[in-house]
Amino acid sequence: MKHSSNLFNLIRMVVFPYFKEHRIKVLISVVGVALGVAVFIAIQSASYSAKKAMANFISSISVNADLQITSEEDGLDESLYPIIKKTKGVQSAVAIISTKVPMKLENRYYTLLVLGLDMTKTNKLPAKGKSHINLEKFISLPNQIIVSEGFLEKYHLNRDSRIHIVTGRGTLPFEIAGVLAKGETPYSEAKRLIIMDFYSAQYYFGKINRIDKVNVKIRKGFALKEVERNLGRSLGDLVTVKSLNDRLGETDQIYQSFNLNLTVVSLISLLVGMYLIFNTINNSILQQRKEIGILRALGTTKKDILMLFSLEGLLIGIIGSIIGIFLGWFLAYFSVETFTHNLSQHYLMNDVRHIHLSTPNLVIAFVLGIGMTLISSFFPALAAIRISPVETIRSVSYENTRRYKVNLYSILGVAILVLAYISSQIKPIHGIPIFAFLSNLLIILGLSFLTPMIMEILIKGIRPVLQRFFGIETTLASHNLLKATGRNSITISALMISLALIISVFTLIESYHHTIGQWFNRVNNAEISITKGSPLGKGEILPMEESIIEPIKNYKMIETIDYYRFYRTTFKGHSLDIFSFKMNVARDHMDYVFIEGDKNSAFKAMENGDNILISEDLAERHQFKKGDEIVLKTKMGEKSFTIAGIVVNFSSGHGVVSMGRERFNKYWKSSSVDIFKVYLTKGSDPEVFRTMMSQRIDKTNNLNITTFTKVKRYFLDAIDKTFNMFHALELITVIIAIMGVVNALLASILERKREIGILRAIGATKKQIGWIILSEAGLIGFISVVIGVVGGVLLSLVTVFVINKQTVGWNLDYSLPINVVLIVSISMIILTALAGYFPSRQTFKIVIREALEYE
Amino acid sequence: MLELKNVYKSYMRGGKKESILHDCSLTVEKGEFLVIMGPSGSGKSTLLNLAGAIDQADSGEIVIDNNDINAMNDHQLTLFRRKHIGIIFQFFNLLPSLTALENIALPLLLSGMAYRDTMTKAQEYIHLVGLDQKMENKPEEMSGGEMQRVAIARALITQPSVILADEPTGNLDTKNTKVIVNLLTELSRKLKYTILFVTHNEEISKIGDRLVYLKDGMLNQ
Repeated sequence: MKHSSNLFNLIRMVVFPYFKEHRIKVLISVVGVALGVAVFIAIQSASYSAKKAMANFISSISVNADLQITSEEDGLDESLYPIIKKTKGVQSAVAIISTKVPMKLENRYYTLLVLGLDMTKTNKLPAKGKSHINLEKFISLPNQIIVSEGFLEKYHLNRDSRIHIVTGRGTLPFEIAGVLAKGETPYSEAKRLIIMDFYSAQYYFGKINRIDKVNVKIRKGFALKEVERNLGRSLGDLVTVKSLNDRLGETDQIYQSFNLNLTVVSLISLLVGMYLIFNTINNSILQQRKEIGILRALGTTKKDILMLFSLEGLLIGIIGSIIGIFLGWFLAYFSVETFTHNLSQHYLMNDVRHIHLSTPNLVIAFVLGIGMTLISSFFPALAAIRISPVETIRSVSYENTRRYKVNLYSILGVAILVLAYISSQIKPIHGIPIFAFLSNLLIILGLSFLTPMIMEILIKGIRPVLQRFFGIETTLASHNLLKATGRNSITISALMISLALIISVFTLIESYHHTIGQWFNRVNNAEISITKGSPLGKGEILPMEESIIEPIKNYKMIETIDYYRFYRTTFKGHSLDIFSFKMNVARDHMDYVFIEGDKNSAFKAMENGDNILISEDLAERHQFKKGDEIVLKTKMGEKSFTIAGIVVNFSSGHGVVSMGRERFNKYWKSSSVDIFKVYLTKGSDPEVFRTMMSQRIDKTNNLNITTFTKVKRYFLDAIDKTFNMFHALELITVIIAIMGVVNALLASILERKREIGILRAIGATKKQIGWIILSEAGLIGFISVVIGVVGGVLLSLVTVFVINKQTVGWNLDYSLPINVVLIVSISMIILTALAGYFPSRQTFKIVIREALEYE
Repeated sequence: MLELKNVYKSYMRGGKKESILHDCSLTVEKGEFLVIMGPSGSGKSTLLNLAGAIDQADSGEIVIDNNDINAMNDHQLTLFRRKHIGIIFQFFNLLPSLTALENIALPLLLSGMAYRDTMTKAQEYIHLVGLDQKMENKPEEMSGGEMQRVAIARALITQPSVILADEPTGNLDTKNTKVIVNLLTELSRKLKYTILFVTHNEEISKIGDRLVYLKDGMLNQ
């Protein structure tokens, strides 16, 4: 009790007056922690809220279901429906058509989910109440739909509006037969939902005799797992039975790795904030050395001093974390769009109206914020207890009070970089590249430890140039930086991290662009794509009959046409995409890069037997080699295929199996086509062809005729969109690091008040003093850029070759965007120099007489 | 050359106005070595700050080489100091990161002279104070006396009208005190520098051309 009251008195006498006197610096530190915590909270909350919205959507369209039965992408055969109903433990089963379709509204497309329900068998729509449903009309006429009030509000429509939906039979107008009032049905909550009669949905979306999903309610007294097993036995391999809870938690691997990467980047922002706190507490200790010495001389224990400065950091941490949580909650509203965009590429969901802060996320953010400030204040506090009372009382200046063991740190830095390399070579754990992330963290730490030495070398190296060309101000600035090696190294490290982060993300994007762009040109080198149903990326592409291409097949501009088909199946519990093509066209036109095998022998084997090509990510995931057998679920039962080659294939993140069309059609009993890839004769203008074909065949069949240049652009834009959120995080990290520059310069000015006074006394103008500070800031920027570029290259090597490989499974060609590196580096130097403006103005307030009296 | 007429100076301390100098008048001729003595808190440093254009008086007139200090703005004062005033501090106040030569050259570098030219000039002045062998040394590698000699050279390099020495021997031992005093006396005699020398040391007070006492903000000549 006595001890805590002593400590409280110390805080009151030492910490609070310091906070009061150095309000701006403390404020900057609090904001630094707040931004770090905010970024973490924003990412986690936005992701959590987006997933929750997706789960709500699934719940709202899966009324009262315990289990959901799905099959391969073309759904279940209708003949299985009676079997499901008769399976032991099944109380009721509702067959559903469920398909993503585009709605055309004022020349824009919006993706919706069409749910085809059998109204004679389901009774989930209210007969009375506010919902106005003309059930008779709905069932008897095919072009009738039911929507929710929320749907009408979202798209600014009314119940008399005609809704234009892209169907397999063209873009057709639908009438609203009913509007579900809010709160009256579970479907009322789903705003991107259109309910259609089951048979109409089968008709319009090419699903005659097919069922997409069956929602099953289990009979009382039966265990979920038991019924799941019974259904599995009755329905066979091609059908997946999952509990609804499992369905709600599902997100694919790409989304998970996207989420994980963002979390890691947000933690890096927090780390930069940690550097800021380290400097703040360190400065506080340096500036209060005398006070500490006096307190120690008067009998204050080392433990009290340690507690005192740790608590100083803790106080900043608590305030910063609390502000950060609120700020993060606010920022989440802006970042949630990215998550919904990424999720809605695969799932449909409700709009995210509210950001949910989950308790675990709140606790983690708070613990991280406080933990990091505690760690970063603990080490300077440890240094404080080593201060000898005699030394500090006698001390006349803050300068040179702390000698940084540059050589020791450099050795440590090199050792850490070696560890980073070793760590990058370790395999992931359960698909999570923990050691690769650790490697990146070690690179950051290693370079941070090397910063004092690099800073010294660089400054001493450029000083003659500064003396010759930039005047005494920059020379003095270069001296000043070396006077506070520790503080400036940390400031530089923070900036270095933010620059390295930017460079590594841009290099990853550029590597994607370069690699996928090249792959696209080699594999998708047809000129025209013809699809049916949704325009690119707006919903499901509907399968087409081969005959659809007949009217143009022999057109003189066409050299050849490939009949491309893709089909999603499952392999060892994960999604897998099967791509099929006409062997002769593929052999002549598709220039696959072979990782194992060669084109000639692989294609020969594929023509003559059950041979396939697999993508390198699939091979990596399951350790497949050329010549291995792979067992796939076909419509003719399980079938073994031989791997004729392993190729680079970026068509899907799930892994790709490619095979000849004849073989696919035989085993999957299919004759449809997803994309007609049209190869034009040499010299033909794709745009002219496209316009001509649009007039010829588009109108009758509702086909989308697109040039492959546009398709490529779409793919590359989608990559850019995915990384938007990363850029936002990079920006926040830069802001935190820049605040660190302001803080360091303010501390520097305070420490050199007397020196500034001397310079002013012997004839330096205010402008010259200001210029010294700006030069210091500029030099900090310059050194950060030099180390940051090295750091960026190292981080990007790990990111491109290890993290990306371990998460997505793709081998990318490393491509450093030199122009971006140059622009970002120059911007960083300018930005850092500008950060010196406020501190430089502060020097104007220094009164020479007072500065000279300082001691 | 240097003239203070009815100078009054006060500061606000703890919210209260505290008078430091009262109606001080003083004339220093060119080449004169003036010693100012007085107890602590008597206003010696304030007087030196006003004479050195570091501070401005509340009222009265300060004229150096026919320039009215009180009529100048901050920027004009700075440029004036750079050209006309040389200051020697008790604690030397050299920049620790610069060599002796660079410290001496600093005022010229601040006025924008080319680095190489300033170094040539600084070599002349380091020679003048007898420290040729220490020109590349940093302050931490020099004794107190050496540092003060470097500070003197720095004060001289712009060939100022007035040299202000604020207890320049206050931090030195007897031997170094003698060296510094002799150096300043010689400079005054041979090169006709005008020197205002503040000291507590009775011995030193005797070497000046004139001695003035300052007590409770009043000059006693």
